[in-house]
Parts: sequence; structure tokens; C-alpha cells
Amino acid sequence: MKNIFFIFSFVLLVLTSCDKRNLEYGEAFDRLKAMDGTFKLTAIKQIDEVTSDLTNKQLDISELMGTNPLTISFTKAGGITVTQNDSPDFLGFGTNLPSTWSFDDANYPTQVITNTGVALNLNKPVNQFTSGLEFKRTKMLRGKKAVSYVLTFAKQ
Amino acid sequence: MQKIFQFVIISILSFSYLSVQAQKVTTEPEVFAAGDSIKILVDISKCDCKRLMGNPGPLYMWTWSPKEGTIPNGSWTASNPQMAMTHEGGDVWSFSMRPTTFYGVDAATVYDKDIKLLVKAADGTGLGGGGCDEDKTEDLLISVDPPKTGPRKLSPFPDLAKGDTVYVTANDALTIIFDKSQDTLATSTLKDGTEFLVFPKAKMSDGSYLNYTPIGQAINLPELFMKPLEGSDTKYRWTFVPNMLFKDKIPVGKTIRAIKFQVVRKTTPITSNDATEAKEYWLIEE
Repeated sequence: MKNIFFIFSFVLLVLTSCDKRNLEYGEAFDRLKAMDGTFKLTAIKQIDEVTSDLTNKQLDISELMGTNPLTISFTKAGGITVTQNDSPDFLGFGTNLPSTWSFDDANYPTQVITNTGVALNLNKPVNQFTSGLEFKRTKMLRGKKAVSYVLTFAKQ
Repeated sequence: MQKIFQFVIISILSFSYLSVQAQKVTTEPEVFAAGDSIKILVDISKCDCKRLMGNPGPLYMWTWSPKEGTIPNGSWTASNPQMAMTHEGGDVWSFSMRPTTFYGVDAATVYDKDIKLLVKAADGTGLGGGGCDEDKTEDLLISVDPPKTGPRKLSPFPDLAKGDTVYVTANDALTIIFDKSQDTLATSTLKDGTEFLVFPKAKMSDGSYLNYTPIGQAINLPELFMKPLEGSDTKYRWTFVPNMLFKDKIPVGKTIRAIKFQVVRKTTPITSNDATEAKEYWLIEE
């Protein structure tokens, strides 16, 4: 009885094991394509890196975006156009605005590097679900972390 | 007029003193509690008394406040070898300690009396006379402030890092938070108010003040209006970037060093009962 059970189990296993269909993986995800377009600032968060009485040490300061907020346009070919508009320069572009960009790592990007040396830290991964971008800049003052800004952008 | 002149002069002198003092002696970390381990760094090249510049050492710390340390200073002509400082390179010398342990006092005493010290040679006599002709620096002060706890009527975000200094520059966002429940002055009308604005002035690098607007006109400027702080029934907030707010008013060659402000109830005419006391927050230079 026990042998019949084992034979039956073996046959069942063989019949239900491998799927013979050829699986197609589709195209590899194109991060450059996800970056291609114009992104408009939609939120700003400030983080106190030194000390704070506020429980979570951060404050939504989106009202500083202004009526005509910052936009950043990226092209797949590596072009970047920063239009500061009414928003404060919390990402540290200064007056020397960048014209080209690249990822620090094509496969696992953590930063957008610009030709002016400004590096934008990606606070969220760029993937197939990306409909926007989030950059975090931590400002150092006198050699130590002072304040951070998290800027959220929506793709236009 | 004379009083205003005196005030301006005193403000300039105070500011100059604090700026210069900050360069002579620093700490790592810059912001610390009395019970934290710290490294005190003195740059002799930035001191007023420079006789020890280029001195290969050993050099010693001599301290008397909050009291003499549990490791004694020794005598003026023969410092205690245990008070020897570490040469950090150039004219920078350091001494590491935990203030409450080193001085053998509680934290409140450190906050109350601060840390006072000087750097000297083993024999500090030099040419004598007690001033800069001796082999020592002038007296140096490290201000130690207690952590901010408990409810406050006025507070900034980011919070005060040290004294009245906020660890942001004039290009950063600064938020002023007003808690009307903490306004306990009997004559004040603020605690009954529901709409408030901030009346700001910028303190410039030359000690002068820059008005954003005459106070009578502030009530007509929506950019000065506070809004309720999320999650609180009694707190209001106002966020701005100093260099952006005063953008068109800053004289060439001058920079904003501090923000002086009052929170005012939106009413007209505004009387002294409708405003908080003036408060000043210092900024860090970029």
C-alpha cells in the first residue's frame, strides 16, 4: 500500500513539475527613459540634522515653492535644464546651472551627477513605477551635518 | 538718540567679540551637553595674545570655570603634566574631556558657569605683567547651553543649536513657531488671538537693522502671515528664507547675520499688548 502511494506521488510530481513553455523576460527596464522629461517641484521637506523639539525632526515647508516652482528637465541623451523660477535653491545649483547629467551607476543609481559638480542624491529609486523624482540634499556647515532638504518632483 | 547710538555700538562690539571668540576656541562636537565627551580646540594664531604661536610645546590648559578641574592646573610656573594639550598641527592645540566628569560638577553648574580656560607654557611667566607679555593666551570662553526642553512661546525650526544660534544660513529655510498657550502675560491679547503675523528685521553684518516693512503696514502683507502648525491647536508657524525675503533690500557688501522679530496679533491699530517681546536668532555664515 505504501509503495503504491509513493509511485502515485512520484508520477504526480513528474506530471506537474516543469512548465515547458518558453518564458519571455521582456526588455530590460530603461532608467534613462524614466528620467526623460520635465519634472516639477511639488513638495519640500526640511530636516533638522542637529536638534529639534518637533517629534519627527522634520517640517513640510512646501509653501516656499512659490507660485511658479522649480522644474528640472532631463533628456535620455544626457541633457539637463534647471529652471529655478520662484523656488529657493535648496539643491545647491547656484548661478552656474548644469547642462549635462549622468547616473553615478547605470544599474544601481543613487545619484544624478551634473557637469557643474552638483550631485543630486536620489531619495527614492528610479524604476518602472517612477512617476516622479525625490532628491535629498544634506547641507554641511562647519564640517558637520546641519540641515537636509527633501524635494519631491512630479513628471509633467 | 544717544541711547540708540549706544545700543548700536554695544551690539556691534558684542557681535565682534562673539565672532572672534568663536574662531579662537572651538569644540568637537560644536553642539554638546555638559555630560558629553568633547574635544576643545584652541587656535593660538587667532588669539589676541600670540606669544605661543609657533611654540613646539608642550603647552597646557589652565582652567578655572565652572571650577578648577579634578585634574589640578598645577602652579603658574609649573603646570600639571596631566594638563598637557595635544598638538593638532599648526597653532592648534586640543584637550579632550567630559565636562561634568572633568570638573566634578553637575550639568546645571556647567550650563550656569560655562567653561573658561587659557593655554599656557609650563611656566607661564614670560615677560610678566599679567597681559599678553606672559607665555599664555588671553582668557577664552566656551559657552555651554542647556538642551531646549519644555514648551516655549517662541521657537525656531531648525531648533536652536547653541545659545540663540540656529544652525542654518541666510539661504536656508527658517521657521518661527509661536505657541499662544505659552503667552502668560496678563495684559497680552495674543492668547485670545486666532490670526498672527511676524514682524521681521534683518540684522546685518555691520550691526545695523534692516526693516522689512513699517509695522503699521505689516498687516497688509500676506507673506508675513502665520498659519496654524499641523497637529496643534495653539501653535502657529511662519517659514521664510532670509536672503529671499530681504532680497531687494540688502545693501551691497552686507550680509544677514541674524533675524530679529516679534509675533503680532492681526489687529489694527497694533499696540504693545498685541505683540510678543522681540526675539533674535543668529544664523551661521555660509
